Amino acid sequence: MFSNKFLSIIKSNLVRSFSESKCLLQESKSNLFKLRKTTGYALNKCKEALEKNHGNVDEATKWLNEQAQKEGWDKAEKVKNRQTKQGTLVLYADRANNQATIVELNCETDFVARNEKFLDLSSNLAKSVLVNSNVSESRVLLGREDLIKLQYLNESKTIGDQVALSIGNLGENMSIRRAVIYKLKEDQILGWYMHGSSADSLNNCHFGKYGSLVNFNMSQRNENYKPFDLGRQLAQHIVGMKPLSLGEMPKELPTTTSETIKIDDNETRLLYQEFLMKPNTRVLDFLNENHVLINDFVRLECGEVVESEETK
Amino acid sequence: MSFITLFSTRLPVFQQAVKQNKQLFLNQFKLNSFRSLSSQAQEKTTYVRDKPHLNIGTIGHVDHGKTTLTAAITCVLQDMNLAKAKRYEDIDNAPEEKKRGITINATHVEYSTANRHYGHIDCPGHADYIKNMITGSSQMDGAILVVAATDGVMPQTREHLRLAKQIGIDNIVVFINKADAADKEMIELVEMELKDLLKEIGYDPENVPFIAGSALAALENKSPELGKNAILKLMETVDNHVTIPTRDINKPFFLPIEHSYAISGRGTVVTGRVERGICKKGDPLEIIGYNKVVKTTANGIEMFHKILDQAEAGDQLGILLRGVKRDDVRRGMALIKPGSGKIYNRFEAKVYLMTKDEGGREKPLTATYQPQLYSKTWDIPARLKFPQGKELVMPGEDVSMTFVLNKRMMLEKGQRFQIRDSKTTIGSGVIVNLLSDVSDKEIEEMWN
Repeated sequence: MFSNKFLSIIKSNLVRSFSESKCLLQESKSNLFKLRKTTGYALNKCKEALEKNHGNVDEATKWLNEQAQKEGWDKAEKVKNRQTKQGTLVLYADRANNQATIVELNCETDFVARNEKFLDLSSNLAKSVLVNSNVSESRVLLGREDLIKLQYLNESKTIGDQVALSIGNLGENMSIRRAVIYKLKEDQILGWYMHGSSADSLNNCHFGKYGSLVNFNMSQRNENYKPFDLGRQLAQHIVGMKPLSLGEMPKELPTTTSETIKIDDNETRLLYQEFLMKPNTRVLDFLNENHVLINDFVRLECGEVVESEETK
Repeated sequence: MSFITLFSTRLPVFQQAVKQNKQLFLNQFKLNSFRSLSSQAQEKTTYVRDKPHLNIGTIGHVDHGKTTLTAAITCVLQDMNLAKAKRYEDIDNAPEEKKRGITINATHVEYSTANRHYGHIDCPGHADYIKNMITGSSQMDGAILVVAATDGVMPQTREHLRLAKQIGIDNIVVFINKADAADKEMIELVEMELKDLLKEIGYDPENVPFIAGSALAALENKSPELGKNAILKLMETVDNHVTIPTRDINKPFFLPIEHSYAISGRGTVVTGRVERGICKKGDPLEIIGYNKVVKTTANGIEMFHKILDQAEAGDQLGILLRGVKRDDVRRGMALIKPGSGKIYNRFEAKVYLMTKDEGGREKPLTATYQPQLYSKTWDIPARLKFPQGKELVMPGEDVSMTFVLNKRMMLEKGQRFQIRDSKTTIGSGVIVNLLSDVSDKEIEEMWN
């Protein structure tokens, strides 16, 4: 008896909800679809937004965007202990003002590191860093704590806010780890190279696992190389050969070039390494040939262990 | 005198060695099996090879339930005595997951359906998978794409599917998870989104089955329709949809030539291990490689000093070839069923360059590098060309590039090769595309 009654209640409920949902289905489906497509937020969030705003798509979008920042911080808090070892370096060079930056943004898997949304975020972070950091020295290194406080583009939020928002959207923990900024004097020339999986660039930024910046002077015009190409070759060498220091220029240069100079394969001073683009030639000989003087260089590798951070 | 006795008299030492080794091997084997019987009998059970084996993996966004689904599959199949249930923690904390960055070789989850035995591969990282594809370890025959109905397509869903396409997984089955927390409408929308995505990435969405269910419900033994039954339906679909790769023996005959011997008065004998197919005495054959294509016939087959009627995939043997001059054949050429293979000198490959820790180079590769390529039984000098915009390749990186070989060799899509320096292997590659030949004149210019 009891079970029969129980069943009939369930049945009537089922029938009602089924017929109701059927009527609403057509309309709400297109709304839900629209909302999901335009905002990209998770389906259940979109549904919640529509329910809360009585099916009004515009209101729901507004609600979602407002929610997103809060949700992002919630999610960021939840996943903050997950390791972020993958990610990307992003290079943004502003040639007109002779300045550039390389920023490292980390995430959990290399799947997300390849995603367009992630790359889009990182390019905007790089631009924010270069424009909003307000540094005056020629070379500045910034850590995570300094970076998250910077303004995000020209919006009224910080880089930290934007990263948290993206954590909510992409579902993985992320962190902006460090940035190096080069601001050069007028006579100095900036060379850069970003070693990526492909030549693709987004928002004028370059992405990759290894990147370098080099600051140099050229005392004479050069027939063989344009400054840009020369800078790129030097930066490529730095990425490939991993020099640890510049090394000092020798006081006297060998008078004859025919003299074969022994080059140590394990050399870590840039000037004394074999030039990657020209076998059997030292970097310093190549520089002399082309009247180039290197002032400074920096090389970053995504996910590399940095000693100073370790000791912290 | 028959060629067989001649053939054997040419290799008396070799034969002797084989005999001795065999004896040694037998003794060793006896000892080992005795040992394992006595000490390991309690711990290890024997793998019974009664069903075809396939490797399958779960792919999909983080938190969409890949691991829960894996646990649910083993749990549901255990009830039918087809698997040993694994808890979520067992799978998630497996050592393979922990040592990220190292190639995932071992599959730690296995289960059977009524018809098949499956090894289960999980998806740690994009780079690991590409590396596996290139080196040939842990290949997936099919994949279950897991998408949560509550979320829909997320970044990792897209990237995993892209990867699956890239490494050549043709068979995809979609499991829409968390169906108990979503309604019909949401599930429909997720299906629509997925069909768009599948199409965008190059799959035929009409040919990809969708199953909605809840892995968690199956694991907790709740709502059987979305739980247990959905899992059973999923596995039934996987059984029907993921095709078994053709067994080597059913493919056209192919033997990479290891050695060739001239037998005066009789002809030429080539030796090697049959890689694919079968060959009977009297079958027409072709010897191809080093710019040559030579027609011939199998006049006799011999293995371990005995005459064979038929050579089969896996056999290490010698074949007497009719009407072949000593100079027509050399190590590295391929003995094939006529017309089943072609020679090329230019191809596109996906290459992985080993890091110094893996035994590779420390310095990057530039386009001026001149490697020696090793594949099957041949090795040959090659020139390489990077894709546009790529000027160097760092160790630990994978990249597509074009190779030109000094001579035209038998090449196939999917063929693997090693890239070697003078002393060491520096990387591996897999052929992705065969390209039109470079003329002999151009080859000459490249090598001067």
